[in-house]
Amino acid sequence: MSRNRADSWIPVSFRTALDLPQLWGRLAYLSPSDAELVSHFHLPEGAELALDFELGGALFPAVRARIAEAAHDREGYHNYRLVILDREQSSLLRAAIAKALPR
Amino acid sequence: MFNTVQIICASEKERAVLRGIFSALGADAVFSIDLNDALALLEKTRPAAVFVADGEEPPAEITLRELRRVAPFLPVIPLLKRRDASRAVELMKAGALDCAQGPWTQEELRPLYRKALSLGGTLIELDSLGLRRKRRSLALALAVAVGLAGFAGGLYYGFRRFSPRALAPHSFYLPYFHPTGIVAKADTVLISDWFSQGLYEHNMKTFGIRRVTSLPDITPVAMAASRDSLWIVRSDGVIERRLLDRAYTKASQTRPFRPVPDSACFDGLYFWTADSRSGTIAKHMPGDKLEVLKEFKYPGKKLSAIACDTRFLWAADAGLKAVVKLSLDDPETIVSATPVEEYGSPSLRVTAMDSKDGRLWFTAEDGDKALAFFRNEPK
Repeated sequence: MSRNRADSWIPVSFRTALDLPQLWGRLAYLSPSDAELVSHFHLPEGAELALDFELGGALFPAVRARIAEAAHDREGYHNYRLVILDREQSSLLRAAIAKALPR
Repeated sequence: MFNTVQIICASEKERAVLRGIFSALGADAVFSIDLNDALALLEKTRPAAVFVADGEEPPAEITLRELRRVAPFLPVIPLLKRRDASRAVELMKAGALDCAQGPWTQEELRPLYRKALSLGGTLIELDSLGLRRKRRSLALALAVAVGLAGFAGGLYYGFRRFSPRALAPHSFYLPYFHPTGIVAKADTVLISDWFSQGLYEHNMKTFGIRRVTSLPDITPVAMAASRDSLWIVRSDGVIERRLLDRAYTKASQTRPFRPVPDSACFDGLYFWTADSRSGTIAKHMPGDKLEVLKEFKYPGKKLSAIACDTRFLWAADAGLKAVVKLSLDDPETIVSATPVEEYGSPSLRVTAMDSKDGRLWFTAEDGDKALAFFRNEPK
């Protein structure tokens, strides 16, 4: 029986606006250019987020992303396809992902 | 029943609120006032998920780890008292499936309750297949790569298996003579020595010394490590927590413990110390203060040192001339005792132990020499 992957997806906190409190979810998928966020908080398509998460021991604060697509499952959770907006942050992610991959 | 959930909440007022919410959600809710109560009921109730009120004793991280220890696939969801994203992320890293924000309402808990019920130890199934179209071609490329890797792996395995191999040594004499603590890491072994007041980092295969860190202000008498900390027991009974940086920078320290422990280990959840003179093993709450939770009497003949991992507590017993396996839940009962070959030397005195990846590491003084050796852990 394989271990439940849900609790090993990357925990992430994010903000939709500076004056609003942070929310949270998990990244089910991450690449230098896009990501998939799973969260029970509802967000509109097209919204921009600032993500904070840890990868390979390194902190990634305020990674800017936009919700390109949103889907909802039957339990009431939301799956958001995110596009990473900042090229520099994207390069840093590429390096961190490459480093975090098993050799 | 498939919709049974267990809720750990000490506050009667909050339990009343949660009772109403879970009843409206159609859940069969079983309430516990604390972790011990919950663990006692877990086997009988067999809940589909556990909800834990945050901000109570013991901390939610401890509750999470204890629950996952007995039921690794059970979804656990902390109920935060307010919207606190950093706390939620911290708890998710500790193993929570997700966190509910306060104030607790039916709307807030509904998706978490439904998601927890639908999991039951399986992978989360996402309905949104449309999000995965791009990954199909990547999956095909990966399948080809895996096939090639499998062929190469088989070739390599066959070569390794059927080629003659030189036996690697499992015992090494040390260039210092009073080792007191040992921590085995991925490819290095760290040993403390009380006389030279130093930490020696050895290459695990050759035992050549890679680095020496001097600790001129303290006399280390025992040592233990976790993923991000090193604990050193000083000769005055104080336990220092140090970072795993180059200088092993001190982060905090406890009050002095009496009697002074001469062995220590961390099982992933709790910190353990032992005093070989009185034969006492103590279980400590994790954290900077390491408060003693409970003390146990070592059940063997003569305790020399302890080590632990997530499954067992190990003890070197000079009286039995063996390594003794003890249960973490009941360290006063011996599970097994396996003779240690090195005890054939009458002057051998084991001074420290560590458990790592199925191997037990020891340091010992043997007359005027000191050595480190390892054994595969007994089955």
